[in-house]
Amino acid sequence: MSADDARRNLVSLRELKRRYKLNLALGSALPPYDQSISLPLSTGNPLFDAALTDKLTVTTTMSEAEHLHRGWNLVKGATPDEMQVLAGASQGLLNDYKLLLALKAWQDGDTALTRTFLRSLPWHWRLAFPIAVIKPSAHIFTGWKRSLRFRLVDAPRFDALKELYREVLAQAPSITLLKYRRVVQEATALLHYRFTGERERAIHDWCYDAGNVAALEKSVEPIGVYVRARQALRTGGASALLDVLNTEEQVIPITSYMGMLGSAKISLTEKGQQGLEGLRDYAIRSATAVESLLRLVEWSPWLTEKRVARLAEKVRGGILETGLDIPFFKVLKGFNAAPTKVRKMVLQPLLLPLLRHFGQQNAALLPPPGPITFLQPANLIHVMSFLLYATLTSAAPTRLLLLKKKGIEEVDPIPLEEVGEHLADSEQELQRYLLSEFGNLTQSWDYTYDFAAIQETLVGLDPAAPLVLDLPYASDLDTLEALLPFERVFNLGSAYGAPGELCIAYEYYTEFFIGTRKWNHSVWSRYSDSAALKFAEVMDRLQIFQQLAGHVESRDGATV
Amino acid sequence: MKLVGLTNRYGGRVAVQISWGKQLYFEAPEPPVDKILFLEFPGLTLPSDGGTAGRLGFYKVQDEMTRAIIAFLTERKQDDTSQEEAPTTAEGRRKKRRQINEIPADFWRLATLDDLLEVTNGTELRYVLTQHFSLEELRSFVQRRAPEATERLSEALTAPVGAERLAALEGVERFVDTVMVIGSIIPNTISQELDKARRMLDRERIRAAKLPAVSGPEDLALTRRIALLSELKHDDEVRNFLIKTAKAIKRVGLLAAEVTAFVHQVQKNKRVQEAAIWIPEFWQALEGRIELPATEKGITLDITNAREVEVEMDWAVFNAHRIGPIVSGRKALLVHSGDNKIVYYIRGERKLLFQVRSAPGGHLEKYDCTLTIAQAEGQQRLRRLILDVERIDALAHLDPDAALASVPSAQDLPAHHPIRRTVDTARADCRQARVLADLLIELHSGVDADIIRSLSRRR
Repeated sequence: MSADDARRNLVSLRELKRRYKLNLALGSALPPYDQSISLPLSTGNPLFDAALTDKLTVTTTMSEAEHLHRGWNLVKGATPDEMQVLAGASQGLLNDYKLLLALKAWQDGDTALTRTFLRSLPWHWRLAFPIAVIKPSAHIFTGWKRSLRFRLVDAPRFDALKELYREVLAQAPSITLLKYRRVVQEATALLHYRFTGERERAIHDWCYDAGNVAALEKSVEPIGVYVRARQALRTGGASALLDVLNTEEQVIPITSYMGMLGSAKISLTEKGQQGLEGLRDYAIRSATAVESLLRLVEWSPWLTEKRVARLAEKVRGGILETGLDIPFFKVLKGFNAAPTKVRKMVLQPLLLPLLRHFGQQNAALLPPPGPITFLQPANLIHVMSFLLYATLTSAAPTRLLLLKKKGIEEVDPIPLEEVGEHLADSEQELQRYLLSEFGNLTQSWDYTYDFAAIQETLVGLDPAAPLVLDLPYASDLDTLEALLPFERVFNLGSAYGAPGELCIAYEYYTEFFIGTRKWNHSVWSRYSDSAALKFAEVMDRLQIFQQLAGHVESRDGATV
Repeated sequence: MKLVGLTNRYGGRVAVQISWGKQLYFEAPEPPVDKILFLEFPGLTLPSDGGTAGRLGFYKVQDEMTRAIIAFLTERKQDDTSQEEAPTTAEGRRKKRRQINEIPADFWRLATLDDLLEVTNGTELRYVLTQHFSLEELRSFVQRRAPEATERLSEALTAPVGAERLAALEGVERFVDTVMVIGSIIPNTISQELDKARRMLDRERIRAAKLPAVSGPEDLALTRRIALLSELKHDDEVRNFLIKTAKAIKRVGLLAAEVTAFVHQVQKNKRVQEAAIWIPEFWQALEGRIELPATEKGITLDITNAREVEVEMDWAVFNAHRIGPIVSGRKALLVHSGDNKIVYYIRGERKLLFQVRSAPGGHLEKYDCTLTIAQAEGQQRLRRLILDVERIDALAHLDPDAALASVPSAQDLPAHHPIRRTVDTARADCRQARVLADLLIELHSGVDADIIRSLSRRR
């Protein structure tokens, strides 16, 4: 099947929505308020849906235990075909379900399939697998529920589990053993695991003793570096710690490093600390590209141009060149929370290359036909939805239509470089840009729009091409009618209700409210703060929904 | 058309908003920001001139006024530069989109109080007048204009009742209204002047104290700062001074013991404590620098009613009774005990409640104190049961047999009882597990399961 055929065969958004409504009626889909990732979509298979949207956490009406019970029953009843389909898409599933599926495979005695699901889990979860088999509450729950006694897998098969764990330990990079010491300790204790060979004995020493033996074993480095550094810190303070860390080739992970500093009551932000600059430099050296992006706010008081340049180098090598999939919304959240000074510093070297990278990733999730059309009011420029537009513009053909009181104006593409330059602006600087680019439009607080022009414009668009709407306070029957033929409408405002439409995210804030039994008056502001963030998340989910829904259709003919 | 408007800054430009919805800018030289301007658009009248808010509706008048001004300014600009009216090229459209409406320099000047009598929107800015005109300017205006207003009103009242009286009153309405509005803001302005004077004196006191610039702990001069605090009269100045001191403490990294001693000193001054009753910035700056050691030893405390909180520093936490050392920013249990509702913070999280609940006799030795959960029937029964409810609720889904076993009153149920039958169906069906949880919770507590479940969630 060619790529074009595959695209044509993708299950449509309207079909995913229809399947969700039917499954909801049958009681086999969770209502949106009990989904951890709230999406009114269904592949047609309740297990597949749960693996894409359900997490084992408290939701509006369900407890963690209830989610676990429901999830485990769905997983337990999975057919071999369903297990194979999910194994093929395991990277896109939520971690909670990858774990439940690994447990089901283990219960069935299918070690190969267990390995497949385990490989798709992060190392922390992989190392905790025996805990999930023997004492699931300790891995799945928090607080008092960790002590609850129950099992999901009827027979843990201790001997086989020990062999599997031996394999996991052998594959585990030593840096993960350093990071997840307690998990390995708990798992091996529950297993009554017998450590054999030099590397395993070193792991035993690291988990159950002071780590002095582990420090001599090269195969578990950087555990040795950590133990030596800890010793140096105890005896000689920060400068001795730096002497050890800077002479070692291996780097300890940032979490271990910060933990060590924390227990010695050393803060990277407090002035007067001995060797402070060296300690800060090592923090930059030890963090991975993703970790450093997530720590922008924490590090903001001492980030310098030079340190940002080193972080940018890491991002180039660790994300852009490897194509690593990192959570767009987390990066943007970190960037937005950072002080203006840091935002300005990291904008060009770090954020803009990442935004281009995200643009390409997202554009790939929106297959042709194009272009992607954005329709939004001319006088309400929401920076986050505008950023979404600019990010996609850098990777795919787009159109920007600005809705006015009279008519609609198509704006020549505004490149990401131009919008991006202003992401770190102060309020005044951003206003200056908006004033120079959009003139009086940004200061027109008149919320009446030309709905007739919307309908005319929509009729002229290809209904198979993606359409992104960011229309405030607009609920117009004629617009809904014009939207009916569209296949991919992503709405950043409240839903119109078209079958091919998906409501992404919007926020209303009460500015003023006064009311009695007989009347009320309120003033609201509407923003799409989370537009760019949620859009990336929804696109990613949508692709996997379509992929798995294809399997349901091809197997069953009729879907539900 | 004559108007008054308050200037603001947008995008580095000075702007004036003369009505809801539109902002106008200025040709060079721009006026100062945050000033009331008198604006005169020569030859311009409202399209429905003479229309008042009463006849056209407030927003409509505003809208018409704005449209008229924008049309007037646009027309004037076109006369000057003969710009393209309906651009056909992309560049032309972009240029048009980027246009802003600018008021020429000879159309505005700084407003006086007397200008308010002449303009269409004279009383619109009544709430900001105190910030723009001094007490002396207001007094002088009222002294000059109030007699005139009463005189004009008296004259209008001499007209015979009917059409003549109506016309006469309409003629003086705006003038009297504006004068009286300006008169009515004088008491508020006096309060502001007093406030300003107190602030000024406090600032002079702070300046006179000549505190050293803080570059190390030795420069903090905390004793002098505490003495100075008790001299300050204005609440805002007290708060600002405290916050600045806290930030300086943070900057130089003063030892926790010394910081704690400083806060104790501050607390001794009741006047300062009153002024700083709500001062989050002060506590934020001192976050992690205040010691909150255990204050209690050997007491027995019933924690049935305790709830988990994230400790946020304030005076209440600082003065609370503490069992075990408390750390701000971390979780702890909070309980109000006894008839006097004494506040206790207990080091630990919610799971401590479950530990005490399952400890033999329902009490546990912790941090040199004895923590208990009410055991006797009728003694805070429902609060105690909430802990059981959570446990039953979880077990009904994870291990239905254990859920049944955890309810003493369910042990004697016959084999055919619906609760026992539900235990079997609950294993494979989470909806049945929910039913089992409901049945067991109601049997155990005697309260509707959804109600007690939601109470438990809130805790």
